[in-house]
Amino acid sequence: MRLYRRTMQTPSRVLGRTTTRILVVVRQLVAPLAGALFFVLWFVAEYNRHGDHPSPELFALLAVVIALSVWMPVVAMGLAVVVGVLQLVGLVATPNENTWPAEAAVAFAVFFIAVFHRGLTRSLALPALAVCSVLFGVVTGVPTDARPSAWGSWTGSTGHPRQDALLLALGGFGVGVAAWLLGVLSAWILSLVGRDVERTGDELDRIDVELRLSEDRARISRDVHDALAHSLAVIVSQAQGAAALSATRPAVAGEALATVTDVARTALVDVRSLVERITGDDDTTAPRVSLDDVPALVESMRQVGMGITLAETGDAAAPLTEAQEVAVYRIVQESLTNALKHAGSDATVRVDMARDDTGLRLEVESSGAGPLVASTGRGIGIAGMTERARLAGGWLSAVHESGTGSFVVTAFVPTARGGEQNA
Amino acid sequence: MPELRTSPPSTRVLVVDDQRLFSSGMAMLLEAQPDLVCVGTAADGREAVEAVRRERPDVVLMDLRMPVLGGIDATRRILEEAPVDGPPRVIALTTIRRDEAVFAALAAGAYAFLTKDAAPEVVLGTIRAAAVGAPAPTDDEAVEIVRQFAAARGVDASSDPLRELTAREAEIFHLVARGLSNLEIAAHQFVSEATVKSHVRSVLAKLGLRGRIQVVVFAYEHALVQNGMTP
Repeated sequence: MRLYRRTMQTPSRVLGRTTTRILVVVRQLVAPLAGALFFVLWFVAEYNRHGDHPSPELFALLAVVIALSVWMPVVAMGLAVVVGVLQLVGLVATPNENTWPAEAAVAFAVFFIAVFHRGLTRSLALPALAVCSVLFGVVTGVPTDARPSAWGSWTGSTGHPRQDALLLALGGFGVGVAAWLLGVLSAWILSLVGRDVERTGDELDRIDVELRLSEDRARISRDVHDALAHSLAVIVSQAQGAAALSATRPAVAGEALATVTDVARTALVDVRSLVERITGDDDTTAPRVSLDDVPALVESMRQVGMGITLAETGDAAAPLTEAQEVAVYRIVQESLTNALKHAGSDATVRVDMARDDTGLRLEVESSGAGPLVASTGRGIGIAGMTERARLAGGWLSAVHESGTGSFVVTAFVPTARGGEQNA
Repeated sequence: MPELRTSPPSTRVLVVDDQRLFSSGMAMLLEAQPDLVCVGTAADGREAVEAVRRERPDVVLMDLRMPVLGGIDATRRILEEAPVDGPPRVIALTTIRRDEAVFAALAAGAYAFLTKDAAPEVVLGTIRAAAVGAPAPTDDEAVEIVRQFAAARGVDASSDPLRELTAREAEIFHLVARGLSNLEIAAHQFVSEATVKSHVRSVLAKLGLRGRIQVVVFAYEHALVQNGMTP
């Protein structure tokens, strides 16, 4: 567990999270900012113009269409259609010869929708755009009594108003579709870049973990050498010396045997403290964990922000041994740490513990935005969990389900009775 | 002095290890042998250099990792003051077999090496071999260690390092460098083992090398072998 505690906050992971957070903020702010900018620029431009009166309510409505395009895309496009209809019936100002390009706001909205949304929402933007284009064509191209000035009089076009309307509608739709395609392309490029960044981050994490593991290995082998090799070398040397002299000088041989006993006893103490240091279980004053501590563990991980559901079913008629309970607790702990590490602090995890006479069956399923451990190759920690389960007399499997994108750890620890039945 | 001829002088051995208990155990083993005598123990490299000057041992058992002065540097200093064909001959002691320190000791001129878990027969056999300059039981392994670590060292690209040798001696040199024993070389060259021995002695003398392991080190240092094969 010590390993996890040290590797959970790797630099690349922190960097990755910061980047993700910045992207979330950008996604939320970009459309409202664009909308606000749109309104200010048009308002200022029109206010300074002589002769014409500004139409702030049209700019405001179109600004809202842009502003809502990421947060509420359906509402935004609906509003765009409604604005067109209101213009048609004369309830909202129609654009004049200077302000008609402001209708391009709909194209901006479509662009944002294509960048930040997928599937149906993204597709529905196109028919909505078509309706808006037709309304734009009619409102801008066909003069009526209420709005005598239209495209023909602004441009001096000699064509029929209906022809102007058709061309304007097609032109508007073309611009909108181009914006939509640009949005789709941008989204694709962003996802490629994002995947690359993610993969690089994962690779860095993996290398980091492996470095730490090899550092640990080097430290352990140094410790073993320091604690054991010297003592054992002395024992070998003294013992073979004693054997060589046992016939001719038994007194010296006896002394050597006493030395061997002393050195071996010290070495035994050294090994014990070494093992305690390596496993990190040196705090003998701490109370031993048990299954009763699992809810508290889950609660502490919830406080990080993880969504964890814990279900304990069945009757514990046949109890597990203390060591088995520790093993189950540690497996749950490592699974949750793994989920936090690989699926992020917003990971959702389901922990099921089912008891019956044969033993305890544990299932931990985790899913989240981040990549899961098995997707990048060997899972560090899975080997440790498997070993714990094996030492507890049971088994453990950890699989990445490619269909749901979730990671499932399944373990079984048999009771003494269950083990007998299985055997 | 006829009695000297009937009972040859004992091989004088110095044991160097910072663990006194290891040295004393080794001394007990040596004392039990009629042909070997432990002339003293030293706990670090500096003590070892002084003890060699004082006691003139035939063989030095030298632990590699020690305080004050390590075994590799101590080996180098002791051999600087010794004739090329010994004595003393230094046997490196190690806990870890595949260790760069073992290679460094061999490159510094150690005649052979011993792991601390070696059986008494191997320990005594290696000491007796070193005393008379005969092939040691651990030679094959020593050749492997040189092969493993020599690549990491720089190569001396001086022109034809074997120019002093006759054609026959150069052949023998390459066979020794590949780790072949005298018997194997004799079979290979269709000559007697005694002839091979005399050629090997001559090769060592001309190149200023202390033993067959130094031949292997020399071959690697001058890029005369690649992957155990002679060019």
